[in-house]
Amino acid sequence: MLLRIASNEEQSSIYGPGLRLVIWVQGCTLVCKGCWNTQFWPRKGGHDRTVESLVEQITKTEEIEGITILGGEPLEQAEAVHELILQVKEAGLSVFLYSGFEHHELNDTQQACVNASDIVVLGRYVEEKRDVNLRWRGSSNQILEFPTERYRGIQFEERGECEVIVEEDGSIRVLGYPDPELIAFIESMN
Amino acid sequence: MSLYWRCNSSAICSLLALDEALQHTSSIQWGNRPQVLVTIDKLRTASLNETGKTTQQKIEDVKRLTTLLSELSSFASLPRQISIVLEGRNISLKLEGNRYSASNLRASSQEEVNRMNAIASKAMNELSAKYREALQTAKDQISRQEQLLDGLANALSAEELEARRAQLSANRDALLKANNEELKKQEEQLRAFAKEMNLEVKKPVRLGRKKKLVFIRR
Repeated sequence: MLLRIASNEEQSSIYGPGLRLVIWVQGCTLVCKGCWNTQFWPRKGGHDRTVESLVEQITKTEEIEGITILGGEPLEQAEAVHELILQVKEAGLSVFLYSGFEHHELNDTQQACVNASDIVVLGRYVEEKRDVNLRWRGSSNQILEFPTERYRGIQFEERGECEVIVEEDGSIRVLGYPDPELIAFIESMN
Repeated sequence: MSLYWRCNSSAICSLLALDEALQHTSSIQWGNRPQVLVTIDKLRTASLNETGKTTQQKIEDVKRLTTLLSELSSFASLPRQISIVLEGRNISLKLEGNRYSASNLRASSQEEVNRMNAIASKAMNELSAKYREALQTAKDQISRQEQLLDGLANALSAEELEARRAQLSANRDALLKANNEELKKQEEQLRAFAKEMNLEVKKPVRLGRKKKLVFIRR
């Protein structure tokens, strides 16, 4: 089964508990105003990966306690995402799923993805409700749920986090929820 | 939703890589290519022209070249001022911190200032990308040359082999030094900014050759 993905990041520490392998899927028709990841909207971008090859990469990645799936809109590829979630859970790892959909919009397969995940963030990104002090969410309307027992009751501090990755060649990537000033600063480092 | 964002950013720490990058950048050129780069061109040509030279002379050529290359790969040896041509305009850039910037631009209107800023921003992005490519290409070339040299081990005298290996090794050291200085400067800048913004920085994580810094806002 194929999943259209945009990118992945091994060992990120800002998209859920512990170190996680993060997968951005490619393609989203929700087109939230103010979305930061507009490059992941078109279905034409990115590249296809088989669920099996992703699972192989995930299980070989050291020190992670789970994966985080975001995008793009993961639940617009619900069948492949569901298969991925099941295989990752079978390997003993946890799953954190992001979706712009709300509960009442989900079909059976999409609901199954939510139910099988250990943590989910649901709801559109709403620019007017952007809050850089939230943990794991971009806007205050987005809800955080714990469908399984794995992280239920977990204590976490609300705080804004972003990960600045300096590659060997000097290029910089920023993941997470940065202040606009940080983005402007890095752009000015040219 | 969360952000996945990428930008091109390089601190220019190697005049050699900058020179190479400018040769492949369409929107920006040297206004006055620094004399030291002309000297290096001559030394490079001399070290390639080996006719009639003794091994000792060849070794001396290589030593002069590699010494200069190594010196030039240091951030400290960058010229304080360089001149470039952007959109047909001569622009003088001064080194401030680890960035070259123009402080004496004159424009007839705010629209013209905005237009020039947009052009400069685009050109610097292109230059940054080419600069990184130049550094990587140079590293790859050294690796290839080392492999070639290994294959020639039986055809060269011990002295020639030693001289060529020393040259490659010095070039690699110079490039790595430039690269490391660039990364160090970048991290210093990022940490200084975090402090200014009152952001906490978690202990950096190294993954292979890349480094991750986590900024926390409480």
